[in-house]
Amino acid sequence: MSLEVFIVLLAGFGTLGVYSFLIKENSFFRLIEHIFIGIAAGYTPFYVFQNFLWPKVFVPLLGLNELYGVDVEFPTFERLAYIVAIVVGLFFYAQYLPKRLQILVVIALTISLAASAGLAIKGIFTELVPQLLSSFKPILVFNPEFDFLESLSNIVFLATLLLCLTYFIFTLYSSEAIVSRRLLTVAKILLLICFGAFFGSTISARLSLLIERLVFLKEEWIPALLGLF
Amino acid sequence: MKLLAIYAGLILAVGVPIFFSFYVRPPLNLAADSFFKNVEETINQGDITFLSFDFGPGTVAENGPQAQVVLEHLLRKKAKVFILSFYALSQPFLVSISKAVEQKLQKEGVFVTYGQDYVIIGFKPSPELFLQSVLGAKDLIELMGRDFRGTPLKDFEIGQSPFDYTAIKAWFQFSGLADMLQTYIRFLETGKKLKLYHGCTSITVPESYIYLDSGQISGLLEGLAGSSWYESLLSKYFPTREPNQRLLLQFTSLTFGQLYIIFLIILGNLLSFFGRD
Repeated sequence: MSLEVFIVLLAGFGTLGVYSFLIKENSFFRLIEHIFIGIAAGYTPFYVFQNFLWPKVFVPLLGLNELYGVDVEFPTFERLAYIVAIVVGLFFYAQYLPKRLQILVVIALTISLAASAGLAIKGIFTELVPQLLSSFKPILVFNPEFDFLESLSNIVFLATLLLCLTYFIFTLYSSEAIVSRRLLTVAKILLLICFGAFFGSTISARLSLLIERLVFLKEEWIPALLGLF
Repeated sequence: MKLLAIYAGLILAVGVPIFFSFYVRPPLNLAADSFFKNVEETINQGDITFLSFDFGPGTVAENGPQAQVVLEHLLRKKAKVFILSFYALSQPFLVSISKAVEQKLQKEGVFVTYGQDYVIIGFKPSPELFLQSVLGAKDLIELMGRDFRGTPLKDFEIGQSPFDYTAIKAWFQFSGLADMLQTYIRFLETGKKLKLYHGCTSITVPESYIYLDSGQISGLLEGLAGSSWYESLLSKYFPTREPNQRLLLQFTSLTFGQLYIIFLIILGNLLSFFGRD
């Protein structure tokens, strides 16, 4: 039995083990579940260390370039910056230290939050502003003749946008006024249509995953299993 | 017992096309149609393109076929392709999908060479930092440095000429991860400085449309439906190519599965309406 066949057989047993949950929770499912969680948790840190941290950070930092055949060399300022960054990053783990040293977590958190806030502000200008600008659509569209469908589409878009936005301004509508209640109802229906679209697309995504696994079982696992006999 | 019957019905609905191998023709998907025609008309031989495979085992069922059809299209047009990822779990797919496309093309006599037509950069941590650097770097070959095996890019033919972001004709990104598309849009200033094409899973289709409407992405592939229509267009524009039977099979199963779900929803509502449990 070759390694590829063994991997296919193992993958098939893993897939069937997970789907056995549909019948009843069982030990086989729990075993496969724990193996998957362990692999998922362990793969990323190991991969990041092996492919990035060790060759690109620690080897040049420790001056092991020639030993490992890595031609990256850091100038002094960059080395200092990396050491500071690593030390500050390690401050996240200060919560496991004695209580008087746990304050060091605040330094790491502050820098992290400040960076996130800066990125979020950039996001407003590069991500949200273009959408805001594109929401200014003409109500009547001429191409050069009057385009009824495009105009209707734009009117529906603007009405949906304004109603859904104002729905969340809870102090805007008076609950006694009929017009307010009707506008709120229309806004609710539009939001529910959106949630329905999200729900329907989620089903499609989950079905795609199931189908991919079934195709794998039919085209790779069953032939591999039959090949053993 | 009722649940088991529902699951059995679902397995039957999606399993019948798989086990009896019959296909339905994918319907027109406007977004995928526009995506294909944009690529066909704007990407020419020698144009530099980037592909980001930001998906793992959880979304490979939808993003994998998308990456495959677009990579095939770009290699057929002899564009220069740089393949990378910001998601560690995608590393196996960078290699397997590229190899599968290369072997498929070679069977048809379309020869593509690693290092000349395409190169796999591999995993890069921290998309925010890398993507910010893309706009500022004078030489992206120097920024990327090496391929996934550690070979310097300058050793390959594709890495001989330095270039900056203005030389990138298009960036294709495939992902189902939350906030990944938004990271590209924020830091690449797409729509203004770079053309970004996005392949998403069905879950993120509703939120991806807002970026298509605003012009921040130039094309959108919607899950399996998008890649199926793209696949049928590839067969139309390149008649001698062998169609991807597995993708068409998956799409057919998806169609039957969704019809079954619709049937259950209608049945459930009817039973509820007539007052039964």
